[in-house]
Amino acid sequence: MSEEHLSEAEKNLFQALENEKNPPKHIEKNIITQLEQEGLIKKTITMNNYVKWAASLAASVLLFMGGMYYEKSNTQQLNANAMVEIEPTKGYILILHEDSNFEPGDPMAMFEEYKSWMDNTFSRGLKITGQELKQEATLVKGETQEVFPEDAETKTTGYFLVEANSYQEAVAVAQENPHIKYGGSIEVKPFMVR
Amino acid sequence: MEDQKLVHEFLKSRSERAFLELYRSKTPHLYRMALRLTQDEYQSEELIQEMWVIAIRKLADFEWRSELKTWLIGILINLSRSKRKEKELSVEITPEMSLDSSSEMSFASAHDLENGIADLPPGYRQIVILHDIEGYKHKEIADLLDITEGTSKSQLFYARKALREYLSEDTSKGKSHE
Repeated sequence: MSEEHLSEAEKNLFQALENEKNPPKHIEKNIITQLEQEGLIKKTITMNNYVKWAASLAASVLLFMGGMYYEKSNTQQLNANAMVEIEPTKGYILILHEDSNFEPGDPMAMFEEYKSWMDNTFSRGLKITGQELKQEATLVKGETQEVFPEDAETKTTGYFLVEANSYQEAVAVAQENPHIKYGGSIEVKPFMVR
Repeated sequence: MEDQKLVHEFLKSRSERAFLELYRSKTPHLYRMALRLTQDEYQSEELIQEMWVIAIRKLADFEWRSELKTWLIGILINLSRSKRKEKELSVEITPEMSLDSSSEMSFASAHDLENGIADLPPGYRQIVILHDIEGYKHKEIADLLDITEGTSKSQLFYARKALREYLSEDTSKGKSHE
């Protein structure tokens, strides 16, 4: 037997070797982190992290509605705004207002409703992001600065940015928002693209 | 999905999702290869990470003169070599070397063979991996490793010889215990 050739038995032996092995999961994460840092890939919103984010945002929304309290969770540490980019030509802002007609319901039920609303919006292929707003507000006008009172009749309590295919679609998304059901109002405005 | 489609999708979107599809289609095979090359899990992980970062940096310039797998293996091997301090063995084959006969590997198991490959010097090991496991020709190996075909042949010659000796000793030890 020459070293130049393998016998059939030897070939079979090589073929019996295991040729695939799944690498540890952390390698994948490390590579993605490095590629993101170098600007070689963009982060994708997966359903899994979107649901976590949606839950976080829904919880945040509840925190500022009617002074209600929802137990804070670690998921609220997620930077929601960093995860969604809205295409300006399809961008709409949904501004949430509340006045004395706003009557919040059970916190857990509201949480589930907001979460479902966000999941449903995402499932329809529409991107959405948002942020609660503090009560604190100052109106700057000319040389004057007017501080809004804590007990103002109308409050702007948050906003969502939606990437929709039409103005009507953005309005429909707003109409389905649980905020309406509880007596709040939502102002829908398209982005101005020059 | 075909490699070209995976690469096209990735370059078009640069999305994490497209990268993961590409990564997951190729990495289990390459990781197994890295483990064989380095015989060390930590080093294998490092190799795979560095290989992908380099590959993604250069992917837009990849011209498909070889298969994607071969291109990735080339990056992997070069990284492995640059990390390895040991000098490459490079002995040109001579006619009398091919006349020798020795015991076969036929009594060994796949497990013994893995151990035998692990026991080879790194230069021999990579040739056995590329030729006998991956199925590359000497010309392709020469291109991948930037060596001559003669060097590839001679290294395979010595690698198999060493492997047979290892397995022969191993199996005879096994028999003596019986």
